[in-house]
Amino acid sequence: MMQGETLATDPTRPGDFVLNMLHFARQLRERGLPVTLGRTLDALRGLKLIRLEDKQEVHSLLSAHYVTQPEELSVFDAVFEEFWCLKDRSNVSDSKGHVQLSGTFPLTIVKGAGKEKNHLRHDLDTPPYSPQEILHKKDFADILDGESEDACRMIMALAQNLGLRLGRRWRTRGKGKRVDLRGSLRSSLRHGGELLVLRRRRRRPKKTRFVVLCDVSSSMDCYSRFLLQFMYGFQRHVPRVETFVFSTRLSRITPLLRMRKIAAAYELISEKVSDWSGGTRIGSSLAEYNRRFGLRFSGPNTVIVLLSDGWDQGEMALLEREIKKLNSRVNRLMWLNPLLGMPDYRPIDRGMRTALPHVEDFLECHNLEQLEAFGRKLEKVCSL
Amino acid sequence: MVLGSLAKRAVLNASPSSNHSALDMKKSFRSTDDVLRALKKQKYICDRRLATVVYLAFGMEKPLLLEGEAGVGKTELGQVLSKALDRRLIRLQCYEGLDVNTAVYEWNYTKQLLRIKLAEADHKGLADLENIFDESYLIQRPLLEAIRSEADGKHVCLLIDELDRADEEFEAFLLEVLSEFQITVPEIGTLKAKTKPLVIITSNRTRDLHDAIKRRCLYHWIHYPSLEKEYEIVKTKVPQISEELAFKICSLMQQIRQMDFYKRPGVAETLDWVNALLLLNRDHLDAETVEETLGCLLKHKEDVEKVERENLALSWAEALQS
Repeated sequence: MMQGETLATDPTRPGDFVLNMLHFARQLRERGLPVTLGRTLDALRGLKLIRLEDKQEVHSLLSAHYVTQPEELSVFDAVFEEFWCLKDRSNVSDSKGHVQLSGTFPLTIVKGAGKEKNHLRHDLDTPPYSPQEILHKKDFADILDGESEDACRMIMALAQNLGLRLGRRWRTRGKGKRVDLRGSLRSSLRHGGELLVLRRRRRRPKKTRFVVLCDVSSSMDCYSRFLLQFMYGFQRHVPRVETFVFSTRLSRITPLLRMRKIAAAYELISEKVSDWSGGTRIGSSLAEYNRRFGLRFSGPNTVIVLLSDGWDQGEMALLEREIKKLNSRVNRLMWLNPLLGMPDYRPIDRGMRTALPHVEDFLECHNLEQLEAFGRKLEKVCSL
Repeated sequence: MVLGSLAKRAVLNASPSSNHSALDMKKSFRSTDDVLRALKKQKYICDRRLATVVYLAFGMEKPLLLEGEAGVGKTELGQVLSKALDRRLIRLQCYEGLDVNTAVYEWNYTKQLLRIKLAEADHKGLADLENIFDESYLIQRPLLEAIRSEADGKHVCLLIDELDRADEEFEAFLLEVLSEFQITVPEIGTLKAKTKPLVIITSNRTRDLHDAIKRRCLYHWIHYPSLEKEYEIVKTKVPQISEELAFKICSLMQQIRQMDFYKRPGVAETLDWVNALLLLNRDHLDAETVEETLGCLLKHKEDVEKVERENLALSWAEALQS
């Protein structure tokens, strides 16, 4: 089987079908689909049932095994056409070249290419202990290209940890309104079947859901990469999270962040979100959220996490009305402001001043340490 | 085509599947076209892709996970399949707080207590009491029923509806059922299905299902039907409607689904609308009729307001006239 290996990479030449399937699976995985060997084996088993010469049947078989959500369908279709039907590869993968267009998510930033240093530097007055420690306290805006991988990894670890802690629940025993007959009966066996103690149980409290609204206007540019990484990790590890980004308009990116590979998620975001690094209209973005998604996602067990520097170019009356409306519908509204970490920052610009009275928590988020503090705060909020 | 030439070289030899008992041969699917025919007979119109996946789920004995917008016929497929295969349908409607006691099994406490009292009256010792955790004291809920009903040689269809409504924990209970077709009751042991039921799971995607669930299933996303398919559906389900009106309604529905509504209407809404128009004896669509029957299409205040605000009823009616 091994001698066919080099030939089988190219489906135009005769090769081993199984090997071709493995190559196909690998290509899918490279494009961000959650491919496992088990699925490939199952798909191979399924080939017995269908006619191999029927392209549609093969397509259905393979997509039923490899696709797990609608967002992956277009990627799958492209790879399928490219691999089995020898479509010209150039037009499928031209997105790899990524010319940065204004208004889309700048992939170059994510890939660690040159980063502009147009941001005010924060003072680093704490003496450094270890590289990790430095990174922990370093402002995201000051992180160098070489360090960014580490920072991203640490953000992911932080999110995972947070997910673990938020998932922990306590079971109340003994008290409650409903009688737990199963438990009672089992414990009665101890006394020869005499029901001496009635075990009780209670309904578990409703679980918290989270809505993250992140400002990606141009003033947030130097933070957006890390905040996006955080949102990716947060949504991945914490259950019941919805994620939105906004500058002048609002985009729901929850389904895009579901991609298993963050690079694939970024690619989708750069395709779908059209107003990256634009101006800021917090008021109208919140209005859009309230109108289109409020019914679905806001509720008495919702915690809203708003990431923004509060520099708003929109109407203040609108901002005030919408943030009030937003707050009235949810359990808690937390505002994370990356500028808050700067020693000379005061929330005195119009937007921040208008919004602040309607915000329960006003927190920093400019470095890893502060993100961790936010996690601890969130844990407290959820256990209330 | 390349696939054709690949087929000849394939190392896999296609052998007719022989894993179905002779008892069931009468009602089974042997190809995609077989599925299409059987579904059409039950007035369910679908595309070949879905039919292929159904056939695979049947042939590979794997659960089928269906996702799609509301009202595209996910639940109905489960019901129709049970009819087409002449199998009993066992349906589990999921909801928040669904637990093992209502979905899988529960002990028959009354019977257990009576048994204890009887043993007491007969002055029997503790040794006898062990029996009360026996299968005869078990109340079967849908999942256990689906597994155990195989005991009498009858195949069933199990429809797990709107799984996304159930809590995440509940998915964990499903894992054993979906991959091994067995259920473990701590007091008894493992109960295994003799023949595997055909399992259809639907989800509206209000949340993501766990990877572990998805891995055990075949996945299919049901799109809104194309204009031709929707027309075929309307004509099949409501044959009394005139061809012209049916076509107009379907093309309008295609347009409406392109627009930005809070909740886009599905095929179920199309059929509701068609039936409403029949009931009102309308044979054409004008602005007034659209407004009167808007409740069949749009179920949210915001969406209805949008139609009123932008005077969409009129523009739709005009578009249809031309």
